[in-house]
Amino acid sequence: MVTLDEIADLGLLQKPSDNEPEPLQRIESNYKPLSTFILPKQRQYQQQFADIYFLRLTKIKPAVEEAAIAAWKNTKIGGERAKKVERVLDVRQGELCWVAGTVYIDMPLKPSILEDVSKDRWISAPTSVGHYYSEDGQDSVMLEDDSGRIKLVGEALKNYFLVTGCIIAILGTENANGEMEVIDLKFADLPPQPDRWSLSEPKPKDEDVEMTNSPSSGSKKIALVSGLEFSGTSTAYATELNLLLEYLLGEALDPSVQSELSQISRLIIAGNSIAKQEDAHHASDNTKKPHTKKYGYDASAYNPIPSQLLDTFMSELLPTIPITLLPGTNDPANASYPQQPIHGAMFPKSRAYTALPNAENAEPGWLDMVTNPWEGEVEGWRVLGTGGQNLDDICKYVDSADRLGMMEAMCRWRCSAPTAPDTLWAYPFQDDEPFVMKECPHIYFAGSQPEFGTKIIEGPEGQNVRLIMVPSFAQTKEIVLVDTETLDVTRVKINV
Amino acid sequence: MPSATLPKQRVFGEASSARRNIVARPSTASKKRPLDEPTSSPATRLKSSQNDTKNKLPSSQSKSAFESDVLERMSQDISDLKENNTEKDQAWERPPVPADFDPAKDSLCFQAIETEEGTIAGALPAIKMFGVTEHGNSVLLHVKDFKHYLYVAAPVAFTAEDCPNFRTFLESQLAQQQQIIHHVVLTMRENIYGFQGNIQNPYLKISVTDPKHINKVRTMIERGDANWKGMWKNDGTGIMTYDSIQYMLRFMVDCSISGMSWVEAPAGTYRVMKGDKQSNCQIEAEMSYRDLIAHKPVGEWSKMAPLRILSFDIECAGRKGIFPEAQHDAVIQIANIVTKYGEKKPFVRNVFCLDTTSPIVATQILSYDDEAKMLSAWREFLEKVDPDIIIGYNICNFDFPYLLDRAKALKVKDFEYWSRTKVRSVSKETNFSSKQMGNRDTKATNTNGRLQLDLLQLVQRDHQLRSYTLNSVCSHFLGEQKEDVHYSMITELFEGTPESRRRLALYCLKDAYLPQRLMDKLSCLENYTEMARVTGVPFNFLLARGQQVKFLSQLFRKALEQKLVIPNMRSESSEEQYEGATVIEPTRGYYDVPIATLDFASLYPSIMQAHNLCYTTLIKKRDIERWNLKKDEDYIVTPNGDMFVTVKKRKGLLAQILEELLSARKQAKKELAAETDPFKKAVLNGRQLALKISANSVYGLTGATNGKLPCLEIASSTTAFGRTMIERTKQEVEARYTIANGYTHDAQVIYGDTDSVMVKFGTTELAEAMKLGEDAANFVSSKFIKPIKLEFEKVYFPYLLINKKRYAGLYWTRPEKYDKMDTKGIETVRRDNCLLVTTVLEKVLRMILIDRDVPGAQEYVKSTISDLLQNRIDMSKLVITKALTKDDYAAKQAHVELAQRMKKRDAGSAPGLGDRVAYVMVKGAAGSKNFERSEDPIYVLEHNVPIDTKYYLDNQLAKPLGRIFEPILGETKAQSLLHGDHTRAISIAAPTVGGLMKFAKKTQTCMGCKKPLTGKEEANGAVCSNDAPRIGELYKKTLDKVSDLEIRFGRLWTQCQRCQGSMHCEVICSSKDCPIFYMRMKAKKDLEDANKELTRFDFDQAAIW
Repeated sequence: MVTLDEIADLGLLQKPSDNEPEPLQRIESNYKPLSTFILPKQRQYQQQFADIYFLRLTKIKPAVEEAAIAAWKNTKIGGERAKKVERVLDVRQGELCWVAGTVYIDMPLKPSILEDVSKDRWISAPTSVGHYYSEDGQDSVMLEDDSGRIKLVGEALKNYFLVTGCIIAILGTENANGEMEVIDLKFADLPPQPDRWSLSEPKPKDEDVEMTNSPSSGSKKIALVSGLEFSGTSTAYATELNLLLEYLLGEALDPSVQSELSQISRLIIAGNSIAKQEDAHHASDNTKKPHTKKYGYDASAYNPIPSQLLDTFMSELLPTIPITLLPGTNDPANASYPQQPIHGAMFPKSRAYTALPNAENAEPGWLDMVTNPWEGEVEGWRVLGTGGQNLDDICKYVDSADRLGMMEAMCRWRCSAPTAPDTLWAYPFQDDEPFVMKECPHIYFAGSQPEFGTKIIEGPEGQNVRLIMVPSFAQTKEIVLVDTETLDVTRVKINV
Repeated sequence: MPSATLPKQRVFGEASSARRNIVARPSTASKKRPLDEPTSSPATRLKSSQNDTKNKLPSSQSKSAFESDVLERMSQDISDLKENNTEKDQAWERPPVPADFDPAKDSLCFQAIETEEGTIAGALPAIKMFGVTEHGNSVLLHVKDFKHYLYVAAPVAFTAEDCPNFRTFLESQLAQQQQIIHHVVLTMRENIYGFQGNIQNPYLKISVTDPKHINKVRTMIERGDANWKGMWKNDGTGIMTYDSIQYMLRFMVDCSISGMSWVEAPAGTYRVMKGDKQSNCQIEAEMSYRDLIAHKPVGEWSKMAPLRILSFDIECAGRKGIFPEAQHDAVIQIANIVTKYGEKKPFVRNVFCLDTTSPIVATQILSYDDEAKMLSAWREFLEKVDPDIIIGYNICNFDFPYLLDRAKALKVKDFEYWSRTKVRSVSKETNFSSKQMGNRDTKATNTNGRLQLDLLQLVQRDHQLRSYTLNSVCSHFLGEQKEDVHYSMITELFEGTPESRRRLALYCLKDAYLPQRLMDKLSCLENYTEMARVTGVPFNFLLARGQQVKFLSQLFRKALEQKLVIPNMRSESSEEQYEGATVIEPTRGYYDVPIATLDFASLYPSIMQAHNLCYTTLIKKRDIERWNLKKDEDYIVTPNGDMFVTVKKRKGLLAQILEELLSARKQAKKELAAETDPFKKAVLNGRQLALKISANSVYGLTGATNGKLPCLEIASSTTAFGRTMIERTKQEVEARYTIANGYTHDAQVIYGDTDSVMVKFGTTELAEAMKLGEDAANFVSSKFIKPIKLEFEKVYFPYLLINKKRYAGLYWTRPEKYDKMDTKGIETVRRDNCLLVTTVLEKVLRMILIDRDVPGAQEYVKSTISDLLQNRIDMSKLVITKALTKDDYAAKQAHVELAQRMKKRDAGSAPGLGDRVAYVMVKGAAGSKNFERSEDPIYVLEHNVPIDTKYYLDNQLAKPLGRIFEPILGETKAQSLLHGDHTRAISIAAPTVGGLMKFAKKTQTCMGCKKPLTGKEEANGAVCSNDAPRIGELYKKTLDKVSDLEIRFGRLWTQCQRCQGSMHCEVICSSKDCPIFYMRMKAKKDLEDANKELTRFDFDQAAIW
């Protein structure tokens, strides 16, 4: 007769371990969200976009100029010393000079609303173009400030990612065609980085001290996931979603893994929790219509299932783990950057875990529905994260697959959404430009990416930033764990 | 501090409602400062291992190659550019006259661009010919000795010996101090009007010493006051004189010089003038007309001289709400672009500015602190750069007169010398009247020696557009929108900083550059040059005068060759009408089979050729008997009953002219196909077009009863022949292509008009229809006299025949792919239609013809109507614009009424005379008239005034839609498009002004069921308790609306930034012609409103707990 013990050796079923398993305690999360991207409730739309560019330039230009002076103060070409020029329009022909300004890239393939209007197309439709850059070199790069703009030419431009809205300094000279021959260019580079625990206090180390130091439990972790894509029609990866739920709840796998999982102090959902609605909009996309067309609003077109599924998913997790929920492109939040938190109205079950609505200075709730992009301090680290639209939009400008490189570029430009508002819809800020990175994050993540990726970049003053591309779960079945002590990143794949 | 390095952004105050889209900032600009200083607390936690400060992204390439190649070249460039800066060193002057130029050895050869009458050496009459040599030197050539003359038929008894006596008699009758009659000679000539049996008769050629006396002599003779010895029979109607033509044209005809052609003064025949120069041309010379060589503009001589083209625009600082007036308002900027013909880039780009202005890339900025100084500097520039052609947009009616008036008001000395001679430029009111173009009041300013081309006039003349603002013309031809700064904004920009003035200068420069680009795009210069060459008239005549002078110039040239004289017929405009072209009654309907179209190539010209219809062949019954002519052999009787001799007796002059024109066109087309040089191509294309137009205009002028030489017999016979030919074609086709003759179907002619016939062969195969069409064209052609030719050109498939001259179809010339969608007579460009009509019609036609989706088109119409009734149509599509041309219309009109109402509301911002008034129709009190219900679109937006959707449905959409759908669906079904389910759901905006709104109390309603939310609990919320479970759905609905509007808002305003070419400057464009102007205004308001709706959920119990 075979006993259970024998089988255990074979790695099959095990008899319950004799020693009563220690009740695992989910580790506590140190968490302080920032309101950087919160918009006022009463939003004004009388202003234009010029203010954003003006603010951005004013904020980033000094840093760019500092970098430029450091690099070029002794540059001489043909016996001529490079001179600093205050404004773009002060560039004179035949003078070696350098100037800072905002990049604008003129691309014929950028979707044009004028064209859409004249062809009677639905103008709020998501852009269908895959990219804006054109292969035949019709794009032109310009540098502008409020004084004017100048066209940039030169091989040097090809060495850098450049997108509309980033602030750079260029060294060069105006040629006979009135274009600027660029010899070299500089950007602001990483902003100053705050210390760890600069905003929040580590939780008092009372009875937990033992546990955190116990060898079995490694250091704390944060879980990052995006692109859950709960769908009202497709069940293609419903099993994986269930497994993910069990995994996060610690219901799966063996005790050692479970205890490891107990170290996950927070789940951050980085956008696209709901699948793209198929055939959602009725408006003028009207070549083929269902026969039973109703003229006017059609309540039956609404499919409540995806948000119900998400609600259930979260409400099951929430008792054991706090969640930070960022909206993404397909989520029920407004479309333009920064996207505001998803409203509690969508989550009748989970909303019980949120902070008190309409209350001032409330503690963040167990379920924290936040903006996209979002900034906060988690375990003392400054985290900046987005649902990924900013990165996706930049990718349309550059003929390159180096998404991490583009994330790095954003940090070095000190701008988390340079292409807003030109091609990335944005709120017309007037007093503050929140996309400017005033402080360097320790962790910078972008959600809904086609694949996982990570790297550390370093700044001139010793700043280190961990870049993370959070893969879309629906496509890759992967989630990302970040160690909160070493900032090491591991990827977990849920396989059926 | 950053604040020190960046200039303050300028804030614009509110000036007028035309710019109400530019928002007064809620707070001042100073709030932007102080800026957050970066908190510098470098992270110490993360180890910094990198000391490399070069953070390149991605890593840069090695620098060595770059240094050796680029930098070296660049340092070379830098030193070159230091010497030659395009912002400073633009050469204005023409190239100097070659040093070795010697009148005794070199001939003087130039392209004559303008010709005018003048005098030389005191009072001697001479012709001034202005032109440019191949090397770009400007020339003025005085041509002397040419005497003007007229003909009068000599009386029977008049002999050559009588000439001196008759001359003396004429002198005595004129009773002037000096000699007037140069000489009288007896010559043999033939009257052009009517067949003369090919016999020349004696005519007296009377030449005068000075062309200005010619009319005196002519009227004297015509009145009968010169009836020497009573030799002329005077039956009371006066004595006919012949060859009444302007002196300059007479000269050009007799010397066979045509407009814009090359002339040459051979070496030694001319004298270069030095001290007695009358002009500022580089070379001025005089010569006798006898030695002048005129080159026919063919082959080598079809080239163009390097003409200098100045395109300019001025900006004026108007006062608030008043269109600039020269008496008060300063000219603040003049932008100039000078291009040499044949070069792609302008060689001069500058802006004359009042007050300091920041520099513009590759443009010379000339700043002045005094307006008078600026104006005289500009005039000096004009003289120095010495343009041959001055172009611009609306320069004739605005820029020229304004500059002159302003200079007068400022008493700028000698400002008005813009011409090449010492003649002052004066602007005069003229009235242009033409049967083709109607009456038009214009101003004309003389710039002797320089041509003018006002692109506005040109586009108005040659193209039918919705709007003729520079903005819409550019968007039509160049495919780009242009920033439009309202004139009240201009003053504000001007009074700002050097940067804001720079912005204005950029705008001004753009406006100066666009006419040049338009001219290039439309090949205006080439087309008009060729027209001048083909017809022989000077360039300036083409825009300033009508069709007739072109025809007469050709006729006189031909008549001179054949010794014909042209009677000076008194023009009497009679109301006599003749029957026009025929139209085969259309068999209306929607044809889902190929319809072949057979066209007569140049129908009327070829009829006139085929039947020898001409002045010279017209014959009267009496003369037939006199010469004993045989019918059908010596003469023909036209279907109209008129008689013309056949070619056997005499070949008609018109036939010869037409033959030449058409064969020249064939030649030009052949050369065009072989040519590769784009400039030469443009010239050749211009020529073939000019030839085609002239050939077609011949017929029209014989029918112009108020013209110089009407001949209704020719005109009515031509149309009569046309009518019979169309009928004949129908018979032939329908008789031949029948099942009885072995074809698969009986062919049917479904429609015919003027020169084309539409045939339904019955086949469904496109290729088959094309083959049959080709065959039919050849078959029918063989039945007609040459050169009448029926051509098969295209097949329409499918084809929608709505009515006479109203049809639409897909146009195929080869069976593989259709060429285009062709529509005739369907409301697409009429301006008193709103844009909605245009877009709906276009889309419907596209769906019917291209997609062949009639049910889809119906569905589309229904959903559009539903959108309209539910207020979901964008307002910019509903705006109707009309120009406010005068204050007191007899009948009340919507736009005039509105302008008056707007004046009452805010006099400063109301549209003034000459402005275009944009309006939408709004719901009014019951029984109010249409003109009372027009409203300013911006006012409508701001106050939520409900749109009168019924008006748009009934008065704008109903008719054209009915016309399209009736042939397809039948009358009843077509009507059902306008009534039905989709018209039931209606939503009307709740206005915030007027009537009862003052007394209304606002209550929120449930977003689900519209039940008023009156309970205390729910008053601020979103839904009622019954609809609480739907909260997610309703939230999503509201949210989607917000998202939708956010994207709109973003796309619209970034588009405007792109269009204005700056991200850092506020958009100040107020172009009402722009399709997104109202849209972006509406987006702002809608977005705010939608966000307010959204916040209601924050207070809804169902959404929170």
